[in-house]
Amino acid sequence: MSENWFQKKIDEITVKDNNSTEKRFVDTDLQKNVMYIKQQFGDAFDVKYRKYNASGKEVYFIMVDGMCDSLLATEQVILPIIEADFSSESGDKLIHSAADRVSASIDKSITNDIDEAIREAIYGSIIMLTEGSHFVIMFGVQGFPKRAVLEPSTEMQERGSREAFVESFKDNVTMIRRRVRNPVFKTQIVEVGTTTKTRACVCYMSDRVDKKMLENIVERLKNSTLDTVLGSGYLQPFLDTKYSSIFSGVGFTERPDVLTAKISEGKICIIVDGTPNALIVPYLFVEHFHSLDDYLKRPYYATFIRVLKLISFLFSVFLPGLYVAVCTFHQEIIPETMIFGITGQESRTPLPIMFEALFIHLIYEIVREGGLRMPKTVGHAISIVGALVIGESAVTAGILSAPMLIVVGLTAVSSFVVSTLYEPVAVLRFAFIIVGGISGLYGIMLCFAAVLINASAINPYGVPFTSPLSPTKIGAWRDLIFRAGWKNMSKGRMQVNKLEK
Amino acid sequence: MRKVGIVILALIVSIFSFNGNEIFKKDIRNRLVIQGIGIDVEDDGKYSVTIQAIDTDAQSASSSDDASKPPLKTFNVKGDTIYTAIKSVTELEGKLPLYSQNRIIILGKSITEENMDDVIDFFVRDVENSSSVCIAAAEKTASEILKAKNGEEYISARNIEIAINSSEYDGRIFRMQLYELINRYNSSTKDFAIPLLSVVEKDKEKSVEITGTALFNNTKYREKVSKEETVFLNMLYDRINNSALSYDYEDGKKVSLNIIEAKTKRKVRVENGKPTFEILIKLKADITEINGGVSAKMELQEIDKISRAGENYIKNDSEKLIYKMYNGYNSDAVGFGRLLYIHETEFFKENEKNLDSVLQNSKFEVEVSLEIRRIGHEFVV
Amino acid sequence: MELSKGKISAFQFFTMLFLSRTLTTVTYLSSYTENIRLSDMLIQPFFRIIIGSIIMIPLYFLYKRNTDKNLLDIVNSKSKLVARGLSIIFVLFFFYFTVVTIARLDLFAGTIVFPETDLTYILIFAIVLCCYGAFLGFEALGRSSVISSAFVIPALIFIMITLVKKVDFLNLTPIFYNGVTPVVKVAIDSVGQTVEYAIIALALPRVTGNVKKGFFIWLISQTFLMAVMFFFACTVMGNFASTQLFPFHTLASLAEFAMFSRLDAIFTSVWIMCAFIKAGLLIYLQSDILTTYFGKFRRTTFIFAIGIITIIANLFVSGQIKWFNFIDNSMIKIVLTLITVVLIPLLVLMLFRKEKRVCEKLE
Repeated sequence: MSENWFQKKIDEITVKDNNSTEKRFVDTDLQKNVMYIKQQFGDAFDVKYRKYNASGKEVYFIMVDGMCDSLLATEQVILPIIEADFSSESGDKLIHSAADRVSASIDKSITNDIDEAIREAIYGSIIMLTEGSHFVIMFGVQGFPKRAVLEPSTEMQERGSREAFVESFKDNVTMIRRRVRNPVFKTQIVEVGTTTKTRACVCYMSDRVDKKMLENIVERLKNSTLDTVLGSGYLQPFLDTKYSSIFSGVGFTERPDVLTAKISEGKICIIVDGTPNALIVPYLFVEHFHSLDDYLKRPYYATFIRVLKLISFLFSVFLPGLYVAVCTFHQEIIPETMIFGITGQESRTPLPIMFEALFIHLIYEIVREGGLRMPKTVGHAISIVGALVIGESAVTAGILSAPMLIVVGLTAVSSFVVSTLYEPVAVLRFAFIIVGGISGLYGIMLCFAAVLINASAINPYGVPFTSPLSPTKIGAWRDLIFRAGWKNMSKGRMQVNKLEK
Repeated sequence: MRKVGIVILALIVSIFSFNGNEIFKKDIRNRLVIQGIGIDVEDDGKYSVTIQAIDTDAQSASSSDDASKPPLKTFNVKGDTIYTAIKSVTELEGKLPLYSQNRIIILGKSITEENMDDVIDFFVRDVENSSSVCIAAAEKTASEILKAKNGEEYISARNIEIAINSSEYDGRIFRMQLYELINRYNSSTKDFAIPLLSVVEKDKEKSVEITGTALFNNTKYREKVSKEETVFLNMLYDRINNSALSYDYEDGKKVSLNIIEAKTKRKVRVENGKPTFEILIKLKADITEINGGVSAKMELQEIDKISRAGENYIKNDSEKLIYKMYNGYNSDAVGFGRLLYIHETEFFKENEKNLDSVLQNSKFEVEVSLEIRRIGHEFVV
Repeated sequence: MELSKGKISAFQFFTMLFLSRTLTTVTYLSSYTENIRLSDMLIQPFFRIIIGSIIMIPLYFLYKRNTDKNLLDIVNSKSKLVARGLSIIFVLFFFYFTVVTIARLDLFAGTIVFPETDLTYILIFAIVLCCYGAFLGFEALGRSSVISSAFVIPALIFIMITLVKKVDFLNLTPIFYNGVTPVVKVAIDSVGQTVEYAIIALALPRVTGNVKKGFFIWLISQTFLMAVMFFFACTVMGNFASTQLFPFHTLASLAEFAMFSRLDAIFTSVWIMCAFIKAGLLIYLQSDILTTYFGKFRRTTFIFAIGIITIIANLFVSGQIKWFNFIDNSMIKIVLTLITVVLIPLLVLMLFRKEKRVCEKLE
């Protein structure tokens, strides 16, 4: 009943997408085709229609200004075609001959689907139509403005490469190609988004990928019922586990070297056009604690850093909740030397400890979000306001206690150590504060058990999220928290589908 | 997701409808952190409970944040039971007492000489109370100990507990924790020992001192042994770790030792219907001081002499203490009865009811081995 | 329900059972052993191994013949009606143990953690989360058990290590002071409290790997844990242990590490973790049996129904020490365990033998 009511309310404000995939073929009547294209584009100022005469045959070139490299289009496509002799050819034959006239370095493809041709034109191809042909030829002369390859902004590494993915998926694939000089690296394009027709490039290594997993992923991508795909995050839920979970079995990276490492373990990555982040499936919980630097540094230090990350993760999730639980219900745990300080400080504050913790964490999240969205030039102002207003004044005014500030400070710093887990950590932290405040350690442990089983249930492709901890694969523990040296690790490479069950 | 939302909402509603603000009343801001509890019995039979607690208001108001020395306050409350008495502190202070940080329970003479049962039951039953809290007896009243002031400040229960816990380094103190007391309490002899406290006034300055150890027989206080005797009590009980010991080893020469390692092995055998207890005390010690004529160069024979004199000294004083305990005060505070129970079970079963007289007539063979490890910064020839 | 019929490894399964049994050990109540001396409790677990192995013999022979079917499936292949009847017995058996598990948790929370708070919401909260665990299925429970054990076992070891200093051998009592009978009785009582035998009877076909080895490791490890826990309880607390409602909790409260003097919080965490796994598993098994033999509704519906009934039953027991003593009765548990683990498999075995004889005669 409620579901129907809720669905009705959703239907009131939404429109069902017309997923009609009816193909419109190229007509032999050139004018009809041009009219259709013009009709599709309407009055778009940036669409250029150029009519030429090639050996007495009428040909139309259509391109979207700004998306194409005009010079390349003119010199490498238009000029060779209009200067060529097509007197003995017409219709389909002319289209095929035209393809031969153009330099081999230019991407070209022929289609009988006019809508596909339009999509290609939008994406920077110049399309050519001619009278009497059932086909359209498309030349890839993309020349749209794009960002240069820059340093990664979220996955900083000390010793790794300084390249990060950009928005153009072709450039991204090129970056991987440069790292894998072997034909086993394969890509497969899947078009997603009924309106945006975004290209998702599925990358894998054919000699080690689990074929069933690959099919499953491609199937899921094809079945994604999205209208627009403006980033890889849109596809994440379609690739993830079917259970609602706070964690995700899909990871992401902005580094081509990381992506290469992942596919070399038999994983599958999806690069979505327009997004400088690639998706990785399946993604395991322990991978959140790994970074490329771990493999570039000495094993003992890598192990130390991973332990540090694990402790930081536990701190960032549990510390505020535990503090609230202990101060509210389990004061006996507090060492006697600390209880005097905590009692003195807390008794000055007006709010119950749980609300005090919620309040300060809420403020912290506001400051963080503000700092993230603010222009970089004024971003530092946020930290000054945060430090002064919250840190100094709130304690002096007796609104907050100093121990609570220490807790929030420690939590905040810890939460950035494992930045890929920030989202679940931020939400869990609030949950544990509330649970700790109303049911103490008892509730915290119950919730922890629930979160644990929730994470254990993630298993979208037969490789559980909690692997290799459980199912226990001792062999894989050489690169879990402890990292073995390369001499040991090089004895055999890890393959993700071996971690099943 | 909606179902999850409904469940969470239902839980939140149920929490606040069942408990309202109750859950926040227990948070640390609303608790009276108790540091020490003293119990006496009034003439009218009512319990008089003295509580020493942290004065949170004074602490909040003070600009100093010296957490190691918090301001204290005391309450004296009365009631038919200890619980009702302590409960009335809430009326006075408006805060719930927090027993978990309680450092010490002091029992007044009126309690130790009469009836400890009810007192102990409260602390065993209360879940917040720590099982490892220290137990001490007051020579006079518990109230006097907890209310004692040195200048303007109360002598803190925490400091008294620290002093008792120094038994690890000082064999002259016999420590007893609640769980150990209950353990002995429920044994067949019900005999035990706990440290004895007293307020001492010197030059108009008061201090709380451990004056010795109180020996109990069948849960009732019998007699006190001095701090010097307590060293032997600890030795007999195999509870000595580290302590100072001084004795005359020659005419006019006194030696001080620092016991570094001590182990007491106790055995029992029954011969002709009479138990014989073998007590072997093994000690390792360093010489820390020799009074009565400094010898620039110490000879090895002298070390042997010190060692032998020490062995005799410990043996004699230990035997004296055993005699005093069993024949004088009838107290099996060091648990020889327990030894009989474990190793001579059949004999114990037969004599369980007249265990006191069996122990009085038992033979105690004390052997001491004292090994001098180092002699300090002095040359040996 | 893609997870409901999945298989788990023997390691995961017996780890799950280890945690489940650890709960029974750590929530040990003094009231069970009024007539037994403390040191005898150290010996008692070893009697358990023998009794525990003996009662599994009928099941062993049954599974030797049918490796891919559980007890109810075997019966179902002969008579659907009888299988349905037996399934109800098992559901009630597991339900009873679920209620007892939650009731013990409730007693603990009500006595130790929240003596002055209404526990209704905590009770509902716990059962809802256990139902959620059951909803996520057998595989998720198995996987989370292994990870939980990575917290539980080190936590228990840590508590024990910190107690070593307080061990006093003088607290030991003579062995068999009152004869062997009380010790055997306590061992039987302890086996009777082991719902895990019945879980094995039903879930074994869904376990892959070396089950026999797993079973014995499980039996020995939990016996060892029990012996170690009793050793520390005896030698550290002595007679004090028998005065405490939850002696192992008190034992943990005596543990000290540096400036942290109350480690019972760690113990509480172990307890809750184990309770979650155990209750989740029991609810899952109930729902699984009901779905298989009364499959008109989805498993989720059954879990929901079981959750509601468990809440009602536990609310009834909550805060009523008389009712708790009534339901947490060792005699009831022993009888139920014997029926489900010994009697039913034995009857099924006899039925097989009879059938075999009839076939031989006909031939």
